[in-house]
Amino acid sequence: MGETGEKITLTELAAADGKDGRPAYIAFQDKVFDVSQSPLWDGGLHMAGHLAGRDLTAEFADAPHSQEVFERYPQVGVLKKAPASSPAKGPVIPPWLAWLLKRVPLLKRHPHPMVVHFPIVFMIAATSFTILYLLTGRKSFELTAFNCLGGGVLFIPVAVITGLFTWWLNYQTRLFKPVIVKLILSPVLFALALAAFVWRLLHPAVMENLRGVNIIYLGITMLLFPLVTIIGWYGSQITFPVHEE
Amino acid sequence: MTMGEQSRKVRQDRRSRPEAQGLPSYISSLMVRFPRLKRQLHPWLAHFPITFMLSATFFSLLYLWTRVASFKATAWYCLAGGVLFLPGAIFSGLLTEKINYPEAPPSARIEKIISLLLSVVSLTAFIWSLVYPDILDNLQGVNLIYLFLILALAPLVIAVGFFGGMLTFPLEEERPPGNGGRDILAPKPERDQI
Repeated sequence: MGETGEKITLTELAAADGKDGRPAYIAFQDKVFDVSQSPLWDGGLHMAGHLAGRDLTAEFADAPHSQEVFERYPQVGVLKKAPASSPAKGPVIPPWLAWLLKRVPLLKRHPHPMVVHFPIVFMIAATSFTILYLLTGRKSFELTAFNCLGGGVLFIPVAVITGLFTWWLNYQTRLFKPVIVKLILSPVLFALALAAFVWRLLHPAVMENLRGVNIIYLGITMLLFPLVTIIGWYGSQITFPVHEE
Repeated sequence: MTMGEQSRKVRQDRRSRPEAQGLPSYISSLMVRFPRLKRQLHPWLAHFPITFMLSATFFSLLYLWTRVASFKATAWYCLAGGVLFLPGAIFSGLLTEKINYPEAPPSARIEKIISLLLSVVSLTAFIWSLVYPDILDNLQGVNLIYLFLILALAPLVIAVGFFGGMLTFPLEEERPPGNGGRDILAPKPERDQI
């Protein structure tokens, strides 16, 4: 494998998969590029969905960026006997959105990671301040737990919407384990947080009378921490795939 | 050195084991045992000061607007939470930089400077409100500085988060070359390069 113009077979391409210190090559429209130096191709995996060592011509139709992206990478050869490929079905980006993303590229991947800070911390804080209230009896902890619960309820839908947008735009709505877990648990988290918030809003003294049905309120509040931790855990696996470590 | 060899070297450098970074042995063994910690520890911990600092500003303003006492309490606890988690976030950030970014990019340097400023501002505000718990009820004279400190938390932590986010999701990867968007971290091109 080597210079521009040199023919690279599919077998040779497959060997440059970016794993175990091997170079990471990708093919696009019969040209082979070396993406080894890009942090976005760490471990030969791009955006948790595209693998090095392959002809990505078909997958490129789904990409949120233009083919000018290849100008950043050195071409190391041409693909020998490249099979004809047809574009795969991907998201159709409306012109206004394409214009917006071009003007503000920050919107492509950043909104979800920015927004998720809030429900994660607010949910953890809701549980933690509730425990602090139970331990100390200080009303201000209980009030803070309620305020944090409100913050979580407010931000979960925003985090879910930005997450769905990111999934659609950058992952072509592909289903893989972290996404499936998040798709299932996020509505559960929202339902529980909303139920607890409304309950506490209608019955401000619920925590002062933890008997009978009110125990369920405490149970829901205690569930928020582990639930949001699981969702965040799987979310971080998408951003920082553990196999790369 | 052929291109393949160069690529291999870059990858090996990037994946160098923590031992090679001059880290204490107990941290190295921890990283080997829990490889997630190499890159994920800082993003995990950074969630807390970001949310708590923003909430301290937000709930303080909400208290000043509504005078509902619980908002004042929440603002103070959020400030305390921010002060509590900020050292952990900074320490893990330095560790992440040492392991993953041997040559610190400009955004990392800016993030460190603003984090230091954020630490001073948040700690000052926290101690001040600890000594004078009702300071938000008496915003006159020198106490206005306290309000300024509280208001400064939000832009400071947003700036830290922004430059941190640029490390995880580099903006230049999003933009087709030559058009669209603007990377504030990119060096200004020379006229003859435009």
